[in-house]
Amino acid sequence: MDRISNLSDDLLLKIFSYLPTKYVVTTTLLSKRWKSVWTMVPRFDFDDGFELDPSRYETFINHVGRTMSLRTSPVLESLRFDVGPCCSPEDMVTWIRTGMVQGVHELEIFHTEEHLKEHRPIKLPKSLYTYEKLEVLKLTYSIGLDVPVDVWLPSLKTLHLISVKYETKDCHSRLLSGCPVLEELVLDKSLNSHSLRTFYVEMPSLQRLSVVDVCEEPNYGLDGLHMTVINAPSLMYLNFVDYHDDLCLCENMPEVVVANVKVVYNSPEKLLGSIPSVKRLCLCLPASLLLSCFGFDHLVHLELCAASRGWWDLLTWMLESSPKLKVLKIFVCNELPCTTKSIRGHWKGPTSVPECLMSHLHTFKWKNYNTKDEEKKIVAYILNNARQLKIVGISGSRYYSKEERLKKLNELVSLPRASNSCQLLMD
Amino acid sequence: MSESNKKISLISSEGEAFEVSEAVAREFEIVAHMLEDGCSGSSIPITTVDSNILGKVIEYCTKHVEVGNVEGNSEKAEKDLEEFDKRFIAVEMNTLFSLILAANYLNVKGLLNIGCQKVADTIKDMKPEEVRSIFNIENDYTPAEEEVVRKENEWAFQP
Repeated sequence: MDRISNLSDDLLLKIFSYLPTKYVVTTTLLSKRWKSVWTMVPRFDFDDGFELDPSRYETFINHVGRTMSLRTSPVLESLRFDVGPCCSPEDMVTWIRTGMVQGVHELEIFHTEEHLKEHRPIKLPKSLYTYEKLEVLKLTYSIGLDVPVDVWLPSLKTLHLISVKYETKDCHSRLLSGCPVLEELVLDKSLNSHSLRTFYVEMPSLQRLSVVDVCEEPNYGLDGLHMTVINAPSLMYLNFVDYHDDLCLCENMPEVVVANVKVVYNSPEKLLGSIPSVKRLCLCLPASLLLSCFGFDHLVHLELCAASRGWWDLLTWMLESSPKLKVLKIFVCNELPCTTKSIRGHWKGPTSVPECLMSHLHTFKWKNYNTKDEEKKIVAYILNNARQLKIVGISGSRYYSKEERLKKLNELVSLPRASNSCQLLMD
Repeated sequence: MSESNKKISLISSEGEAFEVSEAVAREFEIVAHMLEDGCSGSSIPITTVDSNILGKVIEYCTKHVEVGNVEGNSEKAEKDLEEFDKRFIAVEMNTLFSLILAANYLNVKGLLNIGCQKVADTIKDMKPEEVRSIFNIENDYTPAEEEVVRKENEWAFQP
C-alpha cells in the first residue's frame, strides 16, 4: 500500500524540511499527487556541488530561478546557498533580491573558491543592508562586504561573519552599528588580520559572542599589534579563540555564564577576570594564573585542556579559586595536534584542601590520562580529598597498548577514597 | 510529588488500556491539553491509534521522560537517547507511517521529528524510480509527461 502519498501536505512538507532543495524538487516526478507539493516548502537550500563546468552550471542557474519562481508557500523563511567558483556576483545579487521580494527572514551563503585561483567575491545587493525583515545572516568565505553608511537591519538577531572580505576598513564596525537588536555574533577574523586593523564589537544587546582566529602568525601591523575591542555588557555566552595577545576589553561582562576560552598568549587574566559570574568554563591556556587575585565564585563546571604547558599548575589554581566546583573534566583540545603534556618536575597540589573538594565536587573525568607518576598524584589527591565524589571516569591515552593501559589504570583502584559512594569507571 | 505518581489509562482503538504515569501521558500534547482543560478522568480514549502503535509511542515517551529526569551527566544521557531514537525508529515502512500519523495526532514532537527524518533519509540519494518502489508509489505520468517534468528540472535529476 502506498502510505506516503496519503500523508497530508503538512506532513510531506515536514519530511521535505529535512532534505536539500534538489531532492525536494525531484519528488515532483514520483506521481501526479506529488507534482506541486514541493512548491509549498518555506525554505530553500541550494547547493551547486562545486560544479566547475560552466555549461552544467547553467542548469543550476535555471534550477534556482525556476524553483524560486514556483514557490507557493505564504512566506519564504530561509534561503541558503552553497556555491563554488562558477557563481558570479550578478547571479547571487539576483537570487538575493528575489528572496527579499518573497519576504525571506534568513539568508545563508557559503562561497568557496578554487584553490589559488583569483575569483570575484560574491557581493550583497545594497538594498539587503537596509532590509528590515532580515533576522539571520550567515556569510562564509569569499563574500565581499561593502557596507553603505545608511546600513540598518532592525530585525537582525544572528550574524555570522566567517572569513569574509571587508571592502574598506570601516565596513565591519559600520555593519555592527546597524544591528540594534543583535543577539548572536560569530566572527572568524582569520583572513582579515592583515587588512583590518581593529575589530570593534561594541554591542549593548549582544548575548552570544564567538570570536575565532586560526591564523598562526602573529598579526603585527605597521605600528604595533592589531586589536579586538569588546564592549558587550549583556553577554551570556562567550567563545574566544585567540593566538595573539590582541584583546582589549572595555568593560566587564558580568552576565557571562558559559565561556570557552582558548588562548596561547601569556596574560589571559584580563579576559578571565572580566567574567566573574561564569558557571561553565572550558579552558585551554598555557599560562599559569598563580599571580592573579580573582576567583570564580559561581563556577560549577570546568573543562581543562591538558595539552598546554603548565596546565597542572592552572589546575591547582582553579581548584583553589572555584569554591563551588561540582564537575571537573581534563581533556585534550581537538584543534591541536598535540597530546597530553606530561607534568615537568613535581606537581604542586593545593597547600590546603580546597573548598570545592570538601563540599561540592561530585564528578571527575580524565580523558587521555597518560599514566605517568605525576599524573597519578593528581588522581590520588582528588580521590583522597573530594568527599562528595560520586563518579570518577578515567580513560587512558591510546598511545599505550591495551595491556599497559589497564595495568596502569588498575593501580588507581587501590587508592584511598574520601567518598564512600564514589564509583570508579575506567577504560 | 503526589501528582507525578498519578496513573492515567490510555485506551487504544481496540479498547485495550495502557496504564502510564501522568508525566508520560503529558508527553502526548493532546493529553496534556485535555488534563489542563479539566478532563480529569483517569482513562483517556485514543481512538485512532491501535494497541501495537500506542504501546510503541508510550515506550518512546517513557524513555524520554526517564532520561529527562536524571540530573547531571547530560552528555552521556543525550548520547544514550540518540542511540535509543535510532534503534526505535528502525522499523519497517508500515509501522513507520503508523508512528508518524500517531505522533502527529497525539502531537509528540520528538517522535514526529525522528519519523519524518527517517523518511527523508530514505528518499535522499535515491532515484525517483527507487523511491517509488520503496514506498509503493504508482507512477501515473505518461512517458511523455514524465519527459517534460525531467526537462523542466534538469539540474535536480542530474546524477
